[in-house]
Amino acid sequence: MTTQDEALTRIRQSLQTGRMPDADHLLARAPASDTVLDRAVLIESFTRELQSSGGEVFQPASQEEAIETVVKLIQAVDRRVLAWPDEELPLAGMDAALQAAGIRRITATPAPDPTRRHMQWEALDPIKAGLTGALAGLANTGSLALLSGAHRSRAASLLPEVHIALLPLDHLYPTMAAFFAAYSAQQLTTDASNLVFISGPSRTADIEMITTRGVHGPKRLGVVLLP
Amino acid sequence: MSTSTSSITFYERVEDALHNTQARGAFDRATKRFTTLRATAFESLPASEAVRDRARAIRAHTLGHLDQCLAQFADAVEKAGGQVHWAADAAEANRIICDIATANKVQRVVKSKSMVSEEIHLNRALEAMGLEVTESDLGEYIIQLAGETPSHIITPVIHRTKEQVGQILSEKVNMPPTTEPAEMTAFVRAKMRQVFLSADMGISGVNFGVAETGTIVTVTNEGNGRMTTTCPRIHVAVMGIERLVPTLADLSVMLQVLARSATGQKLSVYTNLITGPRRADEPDGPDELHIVLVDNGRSKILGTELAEILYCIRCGACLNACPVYREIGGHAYGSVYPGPIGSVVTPALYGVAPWSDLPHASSLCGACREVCPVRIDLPGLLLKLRHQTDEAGTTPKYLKFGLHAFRLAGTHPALFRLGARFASIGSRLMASNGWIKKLPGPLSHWTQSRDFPVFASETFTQQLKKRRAAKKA
Repeated sequence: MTTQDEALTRIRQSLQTGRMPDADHLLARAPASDTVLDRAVLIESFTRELQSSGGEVFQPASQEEAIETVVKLIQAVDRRVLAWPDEELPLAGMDAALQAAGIRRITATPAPDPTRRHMQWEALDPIKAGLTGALAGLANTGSLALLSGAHRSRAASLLPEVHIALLPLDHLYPTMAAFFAAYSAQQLTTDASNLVFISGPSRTADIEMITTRGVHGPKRLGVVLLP
Repeated sequence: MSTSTSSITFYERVEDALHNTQARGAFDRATKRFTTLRATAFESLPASEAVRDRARAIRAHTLGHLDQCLAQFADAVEKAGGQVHWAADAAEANRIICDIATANKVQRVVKSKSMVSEEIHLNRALEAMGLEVTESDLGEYIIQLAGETPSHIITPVIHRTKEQVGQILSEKVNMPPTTEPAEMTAFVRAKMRQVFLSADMGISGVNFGVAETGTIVTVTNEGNGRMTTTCPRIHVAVMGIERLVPTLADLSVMLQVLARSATGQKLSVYTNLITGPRRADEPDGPDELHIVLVDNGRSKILGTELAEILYCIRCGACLNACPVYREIGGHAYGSVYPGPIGSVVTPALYGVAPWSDLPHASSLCGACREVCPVRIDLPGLLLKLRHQTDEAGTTPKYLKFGLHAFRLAGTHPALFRLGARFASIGSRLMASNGWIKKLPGPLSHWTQSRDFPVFASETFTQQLKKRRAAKKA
């Protein structure tokens, strides 16, 4: 069994040959920081980029309209939704609206043992709509950043055919670098095992480079921008 | 591990590849398309040259402090609840992973694409202990069914037409006959869902590890990377020890060039950052995370003149740009990693003796260096390897003979003029339509894999003299 010490000793011996150039001075100069962009420019860029990767962007004028948009997107595919709980969503009143529309809300919970784990996945799999919030949107790539957590399942943005994400407009950042700069590394990695950047619906071009959507993840991604 | 899967020689494989018209067409179309997509993607990146410089500096800095970066990474992984395993070589890596499977009574394994797992031939080891292993990347799944190896590190089944893929899926997994990629994809989605949801262990590769946080990053478009690392109760990530970046900020720089170089996307659909296993209060994710750090020759390379090859981020851009890869495709190389990167990394990992042909499988045109997101001097490294093959005594005799003859002629002007005259006349006698298909004697090796052009009827010196005379007149 190789130990960490043995592995690192081999590396140190090789480093002593001095084959690696000293690159530290090249990194000392920080890259030019992203220019703070106007909100409208960020929205325009985020929308354009996400649409070009096959995502859909909705920009309702009010909270009521936002709820209506979400309900319609769910109803188009299912009468159930795999959703984060209301306190994790940046839109109040989803619970009541879903009930009124006759949509059953299902939240993922931890499975205690392996057998039940399989069963739990089997139960969640047929649900066709998923509803989540988003920690951030990246304007230059049209990406969402989703952070897992106590009540924020990974499954809701992964298993269903349609993923609906709620993104407050003030969570838009020009770039991934700007997003990382706004949070400490600890905030993004201590209490959460997963941070995922999602740029459009699942896709492949493995067969003759012909683009097909919905391989293993959602076929449709709808982002509702909240005022 | 160090030998290719077949016993035939490199030149025989090239010969086969050149006769496969259908695959050649596929490689040609795909590599040209990728090249255009890449160029367009870099146009949209502000100050792209500066970003590439920074990406290169990050890789150089990381490798220059690899011991510290790895120690920091391992600490952070363990702090987050993950387990770190150190594997000196392929055999140890496979043993570690098989042991994890045994300890957890694993029966079903699902994998997302990982070149390092191809390098260590992990599937073979897992299947030998009776486990069911399924590749989940669509292209990898198809070649696994067909019993083939990847022909490209990004799109593994690029050598097959949709008709052939349809046939493979019909024969192996009873798909209703179709030639529509969308229908094939839908069929595989349903089939793979059952595998994902019932698998006990998910095995992924790692695009980057982040030293400061102990985070591993996998990049996929299909979502199989997320499924593999979310559904099964155990996640094993197999990672080359060189795959690190120091910080999340550095990661964002590398991600700006990775997808652009690989597929021409600004960012892949799913850029998945994993730090430790599921926290106690999280509803989903694996209960255990094992990270297997594979050396397998890398620490040795770090101390050689080929160290720069460790900068590589496995984007595949050099394959698409390479005129040799474009013609012969990935299988002809006979190695796990094809193309310019493969021609360097394969002999670097396993020694030049068994792989002495690969450094010669290049025209040294420099297209690979031009597209490399971290500006690896691939032609320079290939030349160093050619020198090594010569020192190892594996340079082909015809090449030695040819170069000696050329040196002799080059240092004796009269001999050079005489030789040029003979070559000009002789070459025209042997040619048809301006090309020689078969040279005589030891020179026949040259024409085994390429045609030789006819010499001009007048030598350069003769032409120059004429032109000068005409000017004066």
